[in-house]
Amino acid sequence: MAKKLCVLVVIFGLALLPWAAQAETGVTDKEIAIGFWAPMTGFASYFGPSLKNGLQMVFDEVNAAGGVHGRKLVVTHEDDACNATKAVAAAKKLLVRDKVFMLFGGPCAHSVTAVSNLVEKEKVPFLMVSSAEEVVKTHHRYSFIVGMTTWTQSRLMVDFAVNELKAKKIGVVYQTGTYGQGGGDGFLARLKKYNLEPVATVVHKIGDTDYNSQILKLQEGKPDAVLVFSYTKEGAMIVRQAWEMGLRTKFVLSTTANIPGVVDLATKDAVADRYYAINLNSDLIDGPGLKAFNEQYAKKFPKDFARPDFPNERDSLSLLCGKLIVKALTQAGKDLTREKFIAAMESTKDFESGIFPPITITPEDHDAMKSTYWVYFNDKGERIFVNKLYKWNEPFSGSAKPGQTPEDVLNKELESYKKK
Amino acid sequence: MLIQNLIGGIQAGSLYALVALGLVIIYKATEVLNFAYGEMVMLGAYFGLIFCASLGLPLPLAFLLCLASGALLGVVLEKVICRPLIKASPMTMVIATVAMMGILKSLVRLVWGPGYYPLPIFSINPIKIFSISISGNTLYTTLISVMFMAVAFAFFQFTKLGKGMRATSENQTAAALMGVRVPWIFTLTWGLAGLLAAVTGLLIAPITAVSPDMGNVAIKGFAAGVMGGFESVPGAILGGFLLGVAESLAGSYISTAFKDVIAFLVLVAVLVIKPAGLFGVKE
Repeated sequence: MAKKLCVLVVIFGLALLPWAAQAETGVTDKEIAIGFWAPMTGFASYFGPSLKNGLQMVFDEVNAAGGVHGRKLVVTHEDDACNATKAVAAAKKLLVRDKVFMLFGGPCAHSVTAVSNLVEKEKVPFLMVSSAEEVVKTHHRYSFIVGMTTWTQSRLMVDFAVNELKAKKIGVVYQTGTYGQGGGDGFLARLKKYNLEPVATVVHKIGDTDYNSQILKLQEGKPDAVLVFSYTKEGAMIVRQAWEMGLRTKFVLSTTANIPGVVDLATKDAVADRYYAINLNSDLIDGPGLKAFNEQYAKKFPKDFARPDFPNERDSLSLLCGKLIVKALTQAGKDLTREKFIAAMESTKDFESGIFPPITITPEDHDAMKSTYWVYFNDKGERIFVNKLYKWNEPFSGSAKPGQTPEDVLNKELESYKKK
Repeated sequence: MLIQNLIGGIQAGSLYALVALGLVIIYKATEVLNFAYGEMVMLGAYFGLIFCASLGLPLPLAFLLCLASGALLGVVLEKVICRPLIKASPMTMVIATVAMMGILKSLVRLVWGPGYYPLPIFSINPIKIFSISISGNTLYTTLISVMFMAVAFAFFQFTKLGKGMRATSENQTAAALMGVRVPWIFTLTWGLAGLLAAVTGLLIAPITAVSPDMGNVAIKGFAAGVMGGFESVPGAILGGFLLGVAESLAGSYISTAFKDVIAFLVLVAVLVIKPAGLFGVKE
């Protein structure tokens, strides 16, 4: 009888052994498994290497120093090709096959939104580089977004045009699709704060090459400033064609329009003294303030560094996310669980990365970036960094509290403008 | 505003017409619907990147080399993909060109990456005539497109080779019996289409920058070809201009959001009235 009992105890103990060694999924004594997905193929494969490289820069450094609490950070990569179905499949593969502790990915809006909904059910932490406001307009406990949302960007752009450029007649341009529509909606909402209506509102498709009709409509409105929420190439073409058609006004563009190479796309004459864009970094991406980052990047990824506009803002956002992950893992302690990681992320206050303004994450608001700098082109066509931090200072934001709907978020905003 | 719209529409239309022309001449001679034509346009732009930007050659020389490279590409594609499938069904040929489309795009992404490269090869200040502005790009694009269309038209109408190509497109057997070397005509047709694709790529690149996805202009070329009649060279050209002008006017006078929708509605309307296209011949 005693012999049988001993055998049972040994068997039971052996069965418990793997569980003891891996108390939380993706965590062992030696490693923390992190799942990564981004568009590595397809039309958006431009983004993939940036997200991969920034993260790798941080993790390689941390692993070389011994890891986090003695655990190395091991990344498994998947490709979503900027397709929501593939993103969910990639996330599921990482969770089920690779049993990762958490997910990191981005930046395509449909993909991150779909994965956010998945991780909410699976209760897995997910940190993303994206501007997708859809992720925060409904409360997602397990998702954290780094990269200014279209919600915040569009409203800060209106504030800039009105307060800095003193524009009273404002034209609005945005592209069709989730990204552009978010920006366009944001423009129209925020203009109400100033009791303004756009003098012209025009839309375009991604990939359009001719903006004749749009610019003619803008010209009719005689705007002091035009707000543009489009991708890089499209924004540059709009600015250039506007100049060619004689529309001499100031353009305020989103963060996608902020690349050094934009002067080649739009031409120097078109941008000189009239092109302003959001600059999330603490300096120009190729400025002296980010010299160390650029040098490290060039050393580690010489082939990517040689390509136009590398490194770019997304590389630096990915690096920020890497630092944030390490900070939260460290703070969560040796006895790591997903809930402890979430709590650590939610206690992020004025986190300094050295390449962005400080970021804050709270239990109510997982949208980390609420402040930005600006860049503009002077009359010689040179990029000038505007060293003045613009913060979102309103008591409301685009992030929904638990139970709130996107309509509640919008109504709260519009109500506050009426009171003023 | 109307004249400005027409100018914009003519510029866009000239590019669509050039694409449609390349598609139609291949189809007329070889009965192949070339879904990879957009990628041939894209490669034309990359040739421009190599010769103009990377090698820094003078523009006239770089231009000629681009055209030659485009023609060579057309010939290679004909020999490697189309010639072996000459006796295959039309569906097989369509699938082969779709596969070619994917292969060419992937190869470009592999070599140059997925990003875009500016190629500002035409730097001329806008011209202002009264209140009408005409950009340098508009001027170059329209003039060069029209020039190549005129040369292509003259080639088909007045040269022996052009007449041979027309004969082959009418009836390959009869043409062969009359001494036309049909396989050689196929090669020449693809070479000519490749040359036109290179021209189109070079004209589009300064506007959109060079990228692996710039071949999407072929969709508009198809629409223009269908509108004009896919068997008619003048029809393809007219279809291109009509599509460009319809888009421009729709964007200004109806809604910029429905620019494409209105243009394709015009296409549908034309086909309802004349199913074979404006200049097409009903079978």
